[in-house]
Amino acid sequence: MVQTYDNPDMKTEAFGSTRLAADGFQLDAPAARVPGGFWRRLVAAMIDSATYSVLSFPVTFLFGFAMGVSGVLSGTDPHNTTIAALLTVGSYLISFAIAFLYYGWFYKNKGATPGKMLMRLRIARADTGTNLTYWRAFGRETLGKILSSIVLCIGFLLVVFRQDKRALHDLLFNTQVTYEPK
Amino acid sequence: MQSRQQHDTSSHHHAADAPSDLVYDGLHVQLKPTPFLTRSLALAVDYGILYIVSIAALLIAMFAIFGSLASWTYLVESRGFEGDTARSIAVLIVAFLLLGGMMVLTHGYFIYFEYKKNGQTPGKKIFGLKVVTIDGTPLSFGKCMMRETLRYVDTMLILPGLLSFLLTQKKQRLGDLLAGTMVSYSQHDSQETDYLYVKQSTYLYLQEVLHPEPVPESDMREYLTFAYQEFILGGRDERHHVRREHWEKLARQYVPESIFKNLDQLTTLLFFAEYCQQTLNRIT
Repeated sequence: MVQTYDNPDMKTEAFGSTRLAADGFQLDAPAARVPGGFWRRLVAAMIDSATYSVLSFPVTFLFGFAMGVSGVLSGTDPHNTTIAALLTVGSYLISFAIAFLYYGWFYKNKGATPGKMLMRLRIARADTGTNLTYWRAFGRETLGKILSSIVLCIGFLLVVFRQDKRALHDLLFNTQVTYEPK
Repeated sequence: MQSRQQHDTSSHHHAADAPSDLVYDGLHVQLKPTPFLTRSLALAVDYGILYIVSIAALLIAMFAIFGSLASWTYLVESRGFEGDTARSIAVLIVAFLLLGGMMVLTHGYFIYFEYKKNGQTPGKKIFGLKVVTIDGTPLSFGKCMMRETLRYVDTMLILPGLLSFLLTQKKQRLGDLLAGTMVSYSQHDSQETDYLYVKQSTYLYLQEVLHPEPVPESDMREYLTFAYQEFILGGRDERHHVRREHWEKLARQYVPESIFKNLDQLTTLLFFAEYCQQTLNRIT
């Protein structure tokens, strides 16, 4: 006997809450996913970077404003350079913090960033398929992608040539991007 | 998962998160208003998409823009204006056309998706949000227009929209208040894609009836190394086929024997994989 079960609120009526209710429950294997392709991943990355810049806009704006104000107030005063340097370092640190939270939270909790979700992509550890931790996500997005782009973006182009479509930053941080066809 | 559900039910008693009671066609429906952060994120994603699309559109339209500048200058000159004045007027005309194009794109995006796609823009959809009317009628074109028009007040001046969001029980911005709509949030919808091997509702049900015993982390990792290759990556790695019996034994250890006998074998393997996946995602 095959029973289908779709609505979580139906369970008490349909099955009762005893252990035996699982009898005859039969599932099909999920449709296998394929490695995420180059164009799909490019569009996802573009949406993500745009979303990231929308999210970090208030901070960028504030820091830019503060730097402008400090420049106007102190004119050619040599102390000005210290303030400007501090503000620059601060804005970089905050940008990294936002990237850490954005990529970290989405990779950890959803297995995909918004751009990836829209493109039906999912990122996971290549061995167990579990979600990435914050630091793995952060490393992949910063160090990994910087290394990938160093020599003519050859690290990204690996996606095109490898059968499992893993880029250099995927290989370095042991991740696999998959696409779920509809 | 258990703790999430408990949190879900306990939040019903919390005044700030109180769901709104609505009546649809005589049916009593509870809708949860969307938390501020989730709604802002959805908006950021929508703006991100619009950002990419408008840059692409601008790049493509670049030649048309410069081409039309020349013809506009010619047109204005033919009306009796002198060189420099004519060029300035033409630049103004083109700038207004560009602005108009951007406005059509931005508002068209929100109106199209909210009116035609069930109240969900792409950004809203991935977070389980949906624009619904308070009285349960379908979302009309007029209401979408009203929400869009008030967006200027809500987002550009920030404060009115934020205040109205914080003060209303259904967490409506001014556009929502005037159009008689709200943005509802479904935790179930937003978590649908968190499940890999088994559908969410199926998993929650099976978990309740099966009560798997606690599994050591190393065993969960070992089992998932098989399950991920076999079920998600399509079993391309031949080595795992050979060792399948070993993985089954592993699953058998933690799912009660009686259940394993009664259930379809594949079902048990899939469920156990999802159980390991969800548990590992939570603890690491």
